[in-house]
Amino acid sequence: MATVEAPPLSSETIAHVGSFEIRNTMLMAWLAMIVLTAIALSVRGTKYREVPGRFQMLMELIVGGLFDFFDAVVGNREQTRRFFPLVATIFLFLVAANWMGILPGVGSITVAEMVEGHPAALPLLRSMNADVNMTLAIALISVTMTQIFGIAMLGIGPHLSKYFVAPWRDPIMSFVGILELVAEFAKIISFSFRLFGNIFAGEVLLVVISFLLPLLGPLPFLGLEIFVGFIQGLVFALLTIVFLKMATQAHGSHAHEALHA
Amino acid sequence: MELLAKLGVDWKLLLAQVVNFSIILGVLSFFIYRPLLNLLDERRARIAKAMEDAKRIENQRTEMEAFRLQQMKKIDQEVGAFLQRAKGEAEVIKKQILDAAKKEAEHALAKGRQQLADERATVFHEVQGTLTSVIVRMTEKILEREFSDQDQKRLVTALQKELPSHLS
Repeated sequence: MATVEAPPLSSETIAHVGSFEIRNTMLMAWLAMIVLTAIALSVRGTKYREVPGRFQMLMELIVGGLFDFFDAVVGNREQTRRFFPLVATIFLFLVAANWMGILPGVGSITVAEMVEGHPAALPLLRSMNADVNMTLAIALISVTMTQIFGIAMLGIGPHLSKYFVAPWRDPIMSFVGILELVAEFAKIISFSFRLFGNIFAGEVLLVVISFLLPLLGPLPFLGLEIFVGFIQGLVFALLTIVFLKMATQAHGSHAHEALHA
Repeated sequence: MELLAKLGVDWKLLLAQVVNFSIILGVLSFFIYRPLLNLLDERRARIAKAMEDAKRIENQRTEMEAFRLQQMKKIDQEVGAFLQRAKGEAEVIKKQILDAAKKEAEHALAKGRQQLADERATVFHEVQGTLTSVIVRMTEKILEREFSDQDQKRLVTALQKELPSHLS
C-alpha cells in the first residue's frame, strides 16, 4: 500500500555554492523575481503613455487599485506614497510566489541528492512561503521598516518613548511600553508563521488530497490555494501598512488585536 | 534553537531573501510604481484641470450671454430715446415750416390786397379825373346853351370846386 509522503517542515537543499545552500524555496523565490522583473520590463516597454494600451491599463488598474486600497487605511496620499513601494512589493511578491507554488511541477519534479549519506529524490521547486526562512525574512523587513519609518517621521526620542517610559513617572504607561516592545517581537513571529503555516498547510493538503483522490479531487483545493495565496499576501501587506500607520502616529492607538487576525 | 534547526532556518538564506526582496522592491519601484503613480497623478491633475476649465468656460458663456442681453437692452433703450428725440425735433421743424408757410401766405395775401387796393385807388382816381372832366365838359355844353357866360363861369368854378368832393 502506498503511503502519503508529506513534505518536511524545512526546505530541502538542492545545491551548494560554496557554503551557501541553495534551497528549493530559494529557487522559487528567484523564479518569482524573474517573473516580476519580466512584468516590470514589459511595463517599461509601454513607455508609460498618457493614453494607455491594454497592458498598461491593466497595470495602472493594479497599481492604482492597490494605492487606493492602502490609502483607505492610511488616509493621507503623501504618506501612502511613501509606504507604497514596501507594502505593494510585499503584496505582489508574496502573491506571485504563492500562485507559482501551485503550478504543476512544483514538488513533483525531483532531483537526485544525497541526504545524510542516503540517496534521495528531492523536489526541485517548493512554494516559496512554505519555508520559514523566506517568511521570516519578509517579516523582519516589515517590522524593521516599521521602526525605521517611525523614527524617520517622529524622531528617535518620541519613537522610543512609545516603548520606554520611566516607571516613576507613569507606571501604567511604562508597563504598556514593555508590552509594546514584546508585541514588536510577537509581530515578527506572527507574520512569519501565519504565512508559513497557511502555505505549508496548503502544500500538505494538496499532497494528501492528490493521494486520496488523484483525478478531480485536488481541483477545488487548487482554487482554494489560489484564494489563500491572494489573501495571505493581502493580509501581510495590510498588516504592514496598519503597523506603519500606527508607528508614524505620535501616540499609537492600541490596535494590536489586528495582530491576531 | 532545535526548533529553528527543524524549520531549516539559516541566517544566510534569511539574508539572501532580504536581498531578493530589496532587489525586487527596487525593480518594481523603478519600473512600475514610480512612473505609473506619477502618470496616474498627472492624469488626475489633467482631468481636474479640464473639468475646471469646462466650468470656467461655462461661467464665461453665461456671463457673456447676460452681458449681451444687457447690451441689447441698452441699445434698444438708446434707439428708443433717439427716435423720441428725432420725432420731437421733426415736430418742431414741421411747426416751424408750417409757421413760415403761414406767414408767407399771409404776407402774400396782404401784399395782394394792398396791390388790389392800390390798383383800385389808381383806377378810381383815373375814373374820377375822366368823369370830372366829362361832367365839366357836359355841363359847359349845357350851360353854353342855357346859361349866361357869367352864370356859366360861376357854375363851372363851383362845379370844379365841389364835384371832386362829391364823387369821392
